[in-house]
Amino acid sequence: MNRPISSFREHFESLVDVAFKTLSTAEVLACELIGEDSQFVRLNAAKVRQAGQVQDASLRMRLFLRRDEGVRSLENTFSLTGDWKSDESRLMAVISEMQNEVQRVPVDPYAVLPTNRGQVSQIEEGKLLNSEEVCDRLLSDCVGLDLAGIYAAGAVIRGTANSLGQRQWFYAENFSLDYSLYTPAEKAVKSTFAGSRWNRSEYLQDLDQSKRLLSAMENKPIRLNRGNYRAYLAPAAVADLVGMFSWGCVSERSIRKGESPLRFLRTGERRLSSLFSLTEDFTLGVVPRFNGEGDIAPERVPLIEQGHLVGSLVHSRTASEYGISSNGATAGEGFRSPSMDPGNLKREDILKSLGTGVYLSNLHYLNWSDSFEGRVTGMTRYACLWVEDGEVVGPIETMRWDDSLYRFFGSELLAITDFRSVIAETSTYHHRQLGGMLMPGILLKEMNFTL
Amino acid sequence: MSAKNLNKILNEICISPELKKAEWIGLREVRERHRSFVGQDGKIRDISSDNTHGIMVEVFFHGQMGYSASPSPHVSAVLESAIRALRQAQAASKWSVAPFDFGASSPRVRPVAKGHYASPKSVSTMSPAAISELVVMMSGRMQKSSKIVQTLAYIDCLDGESRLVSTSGTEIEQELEGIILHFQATAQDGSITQKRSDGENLQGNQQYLTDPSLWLRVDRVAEQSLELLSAPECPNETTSVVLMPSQMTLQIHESIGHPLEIDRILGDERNYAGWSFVRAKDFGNLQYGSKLLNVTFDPTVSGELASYSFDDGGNPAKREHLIRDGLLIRGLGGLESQTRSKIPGVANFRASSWNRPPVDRMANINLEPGSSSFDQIISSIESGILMDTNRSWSIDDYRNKFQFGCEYAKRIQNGKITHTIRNPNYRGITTPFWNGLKMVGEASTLYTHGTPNCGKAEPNQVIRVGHRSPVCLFENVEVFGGAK
Repeated sequence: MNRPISSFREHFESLVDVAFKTLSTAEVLACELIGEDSQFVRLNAAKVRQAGQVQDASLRMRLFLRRDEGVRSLENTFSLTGDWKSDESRLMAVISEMQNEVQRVPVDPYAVLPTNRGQVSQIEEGKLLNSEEVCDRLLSDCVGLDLAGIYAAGAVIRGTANSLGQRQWFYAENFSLDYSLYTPAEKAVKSTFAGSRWNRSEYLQDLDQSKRLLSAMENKPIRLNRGNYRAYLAPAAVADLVGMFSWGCVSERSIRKGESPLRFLRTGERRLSSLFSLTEDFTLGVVPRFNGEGDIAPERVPLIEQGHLVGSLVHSRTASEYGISSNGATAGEGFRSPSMDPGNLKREDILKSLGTGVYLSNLHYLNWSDSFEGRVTGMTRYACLWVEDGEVVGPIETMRWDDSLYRFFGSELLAITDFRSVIAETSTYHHRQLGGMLMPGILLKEMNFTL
Repeated sequence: MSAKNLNKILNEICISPELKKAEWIGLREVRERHRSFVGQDGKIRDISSDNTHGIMVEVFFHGQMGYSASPSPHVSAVLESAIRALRQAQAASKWSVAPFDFGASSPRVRPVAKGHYASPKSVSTMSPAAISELVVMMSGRMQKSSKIVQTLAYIDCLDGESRLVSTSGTEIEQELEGIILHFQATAQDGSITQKRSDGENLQGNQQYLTDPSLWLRVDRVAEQSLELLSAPECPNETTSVVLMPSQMTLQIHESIGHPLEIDRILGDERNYAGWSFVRAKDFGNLQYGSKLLNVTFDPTVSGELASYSFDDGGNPAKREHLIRDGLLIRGLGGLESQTRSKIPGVANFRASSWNRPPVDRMANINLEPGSSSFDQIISSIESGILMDTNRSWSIDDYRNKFQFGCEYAKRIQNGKITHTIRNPNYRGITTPFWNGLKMVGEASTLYTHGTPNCGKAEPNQVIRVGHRSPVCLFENVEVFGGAK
């Protein structure tokens, strides 16, 4: 790239200023910048499979044309090189093409014109490993381990601006090591070590904790029959289940279109446990509060309180369609930073409270069995253990489960831990994603295992 | 930029003394444009164009690859990228999981290749305004009843090109056009909600957007969404199941494609999507399915979504049998995985874009036709269920225990299709399931599907894959319905 990602703010603001000068009075332009300077090291057998770096930046522009008959709009996204001449020339060509095309597309009755949400700037500098030292620093402490995973680190940027004067900026430097350890019999444990400042002693602690858990996986695996078992789900497993709420559950649009299983909460036909409360919570500080259009969400958006649906995620377009207020949600109306309230189950009481049943550290490959009813299927994965009378007996063989969100967070929910874990977002589809979840563990009276 | 110009950049950066230590350097330039149009409930929902362009530099040092990617095509930026890639390779080389031999003039894992690929091209291209009108009309046409609460039509027109040049003399250019079409209707009656959809995922021209049969399909989606509202639930039983090609595509993808990926067998993927129940010793020995099961890797099918002439390592692509008469004979691994594992593989070392390194991916994985007509299949069944169009999928990290759901099903009784069933699901274990393959449809039952969204790898990548399959009949399958 022709300039460091850390200096893209100026470049972005100068480019959008050029774009705004080309607009007629009938046009409004909203711009978003997404960029990163990332290092990726893929690991297998505690060695390096692939190592590299990616610099990437793209500018998304949405042009609105106001006419008496209504608003037309379209969007164009293109890669930025960081070179002023190239990027300015491309920008001008794209704007010109958009200005031509927008006149010929259908009127969008629910288009939401941007507004000026003011100036926001959030900069989170970190202390990351030098990119050429990463392999040594990661792997010197892993000799003798069978470790697989991905180290992803570097700067990520997000910016928005519109022709009404809005400017928002987010810059963060962070890292994540998403890894798993394996026994010779291929039983595994999973961890994610993430943050903004690399600390070797914390890294060693994380590795040690994983190694200790791995030793519990060395016993002979236990094969469970199909059926219902009492279960404890650790925070990472709960995060997977809560993640399903992003698949059209807490979306206001999905609720109104009858697609969300939570529509039964709104109508009062069903309810969840009074122990269960869920919030979209930006106080975690892991993701900007502004969305791609620059709409700013409240710091906390309560969604479920003591089992009752008290809110939903509302994007500006949904708000326009139904004549309601937006709460700054993304276009997909999914979570960016959810937190679930803790309960009173203490860490030291988990096994005793579980008694005899399954302890699930992680789940895998969740999908709906019946999306309209909230029934979910998935697999057990990593450290999943059989417990008898409060004592770990050994790992279980992989099991398929199939059960309902109304049972997980409703009729079967016995207790919630008094501690919570931050589950960092490690997804890197298209670019490094931001976000995270704050989740407790949950104790269930029973969970349905099917294969 | 042409391959010649990309080669010129390569030659210029190779003058740099800092790159003298590199054993091999490759540049892969990718430019891709998606123009997407979404109509919802008879109105326009979104029109967008997504354009990405950049160059990936791969450098080998002591047999270890390092990479660096940047959107800038300027020589100075590519040189900076190459130096970063070399430094990554140097730092990683002492920890290399599999150093490759670059002593020869033509390294095995990066063969010298020259050539060109072009997918079928549009005969005539619809304007953005015309496609916008089309998705509005499609979504409007599906609003046939007040019980249809949401309709959606989506068209993504893709055009792209990639170039690969290397210091060993590779010079490849590949051009691609494609269309992703999807349309769906959601119907609701009281507490019952049902969805029905259809679509196409193909390389090539826009001809079928103007074909009158498109409107028959649009109508059918709306009608079947309504039909499902009053249909009985799928029963809970073990029975014969007929899978239409729209569901076979998912069945092939999840329980043949992914488990045969050699990088999964080698453990590269086990921290993310998972491992595989297939082991190196299984090739040539494992009876994966019944004698009727014949599966090919075939990137040469014109118009199928993942056709190409070379993979991103420069390996020429050709049709290969993966499973012949039910016996597993070949894996899905490019030259790096083949070298590491000694398993016979294919040309499938592919990256999703310029900003990701290649790994083992599916391309077109096709189930070859058999000899049974559709009527013969149905008439052979005393009691069973026909399932159409995937709506849900889940499988374990070794690709054994799966559970899939479909949008639409029909009851089969005494050799005849009787009535519609809603919420059909089935579950099973991979090799017993494929060994229960009892009849395979003839060529007249073939249909080509695919997906633009196969997710895999760390860092994550989504890639296009194609699947062509006939109608198939399976015995002793556990089926079940939806529930509260």
